[in-house]
Amino acid sequence: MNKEKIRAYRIISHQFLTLVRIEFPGSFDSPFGGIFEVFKQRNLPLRFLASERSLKGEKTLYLGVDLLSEETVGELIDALRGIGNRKELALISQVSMAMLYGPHFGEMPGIFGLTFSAFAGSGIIPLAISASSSSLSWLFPSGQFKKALEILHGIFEFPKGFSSWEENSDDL
Amino acid sequence: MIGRVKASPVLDAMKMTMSGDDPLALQNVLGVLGEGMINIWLGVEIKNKEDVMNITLCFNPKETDGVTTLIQEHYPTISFSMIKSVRIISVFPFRDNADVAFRFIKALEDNSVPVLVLSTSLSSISCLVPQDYCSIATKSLETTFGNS
Repeated sequence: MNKEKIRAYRIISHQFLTLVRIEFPGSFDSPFGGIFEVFKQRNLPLRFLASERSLKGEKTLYLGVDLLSEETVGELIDALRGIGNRKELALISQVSMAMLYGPHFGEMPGIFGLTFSAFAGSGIIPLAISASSSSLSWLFPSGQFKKALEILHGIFEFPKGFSSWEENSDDL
Repeated sequence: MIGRVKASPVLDAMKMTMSGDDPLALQNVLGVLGEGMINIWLGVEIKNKEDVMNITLCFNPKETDGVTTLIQEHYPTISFSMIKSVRIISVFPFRDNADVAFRFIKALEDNSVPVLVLSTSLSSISCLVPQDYCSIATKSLETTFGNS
């Protein structure tokens, strides 16, 4: 891939999130419905959501929500403790996310690796990554957020006067 | 809320587990795949409590042999497994809405659809399911989101 900047259409970021990490053993079904119901009942927007299954079948679920107060954290932990079969539950404050949108990303093999390489080269290892054919999302410790954004702005160029948040497309 | 349901073509998925202390390994694998012009349809990496990175990468089945060869040639010590014939199923819009996430996963769980990976973008929530479950997953989501 050449050194010219890659065109992207939009970047959306959230600097202060609380990460909810729930892990499940491989031998049980994971009751994600019950978990999402807890967030739905509290009307908490899910800024980041990803789940992955290890080679051994263990599942890890990441949910990023707007930074929670101590009171809400306690209440959420109580509600999530009731979810069966869980192996691990952790709420981690001060994480950040960035999401990049480009409908042409699917025609650019290597873009996932390029960004990961740039982050790793600066000592930034995302907590989680989610990539599709039109978007890339990363979750970072908040202390690495500013540097991560600098790296993204070094790789990608955005339309002049671009907006960081517009909900006018279903294809983001 | 009415939603649109989309299913990808049939893909193959590669699952890997790597130490979170050694990002160079994943960096190298992604670099090799990029140089090989392998187009990743869906990629998810998550670190667990033990700082282990679990990774899933999906690509066109025509590229499976190439991917396997590239990794085995360049990084023979990396262990990975291939899952043949999977589909990405997405519902639009999502827009951070926990109710959409709840209805999405409940429709799948109620129909015993195994979800291999779950991810979201700004406007979609997506899952990776075995091809055999694509039809029931799509139908249940279309029913749930009123697109039948």
